[in-house]
Amino acid sequence: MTKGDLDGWTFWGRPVKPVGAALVVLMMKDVVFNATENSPFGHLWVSHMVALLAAVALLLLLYSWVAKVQRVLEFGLMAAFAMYVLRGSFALFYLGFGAEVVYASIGGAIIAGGAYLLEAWDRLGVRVRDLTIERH
Amino acid sequence: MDPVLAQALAGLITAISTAILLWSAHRWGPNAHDNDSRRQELPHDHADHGNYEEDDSET
Repeated sequence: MTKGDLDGWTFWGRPVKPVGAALVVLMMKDVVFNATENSPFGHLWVSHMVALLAAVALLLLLYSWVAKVQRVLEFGLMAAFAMYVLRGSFALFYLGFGAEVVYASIGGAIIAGGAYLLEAWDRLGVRVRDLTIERH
Repeated sequence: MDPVLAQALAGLITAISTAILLWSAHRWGPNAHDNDSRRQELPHDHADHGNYEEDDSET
């Protein structure tokens, strides 16, 4: 297990990752709202890039959890982080400091980046993908 | 700001920040300094068979 898991909790034989689950929901939201141009800058190219990054993150997060592949999960969290940074930095340049999406994106980037580090650094100091089971 | 310039800057910031995140995971992780040596210590049998019992044969 990693620091991103709820200790001792499993669902469908897989670890429960609350931050990962929350990011799955948020990625679904961002795919829909940006692909359908319902975001604050939906008519621009960057909106489709945000939708694409969110879709990649969503697929990687779901696949990694179902297939139990730790490294894919890390890439999914990194894609979510990149999506939030892209959206937030563009919103800052285009809409300014007064836009709500800027601060929502900063928070999302911190969550996704922090979750990536928690998954990449397990408590034993050994990267989880090197082992197939946990040590007790 | 011009939207084209804003998109270019946002893309640049995204690439740099993602690279920093990836680098920091390897640079400042708990096993940052002994990552390679620790991996060499792990026999493949542990991963292949899911058997990671403590070796107490020397005690």
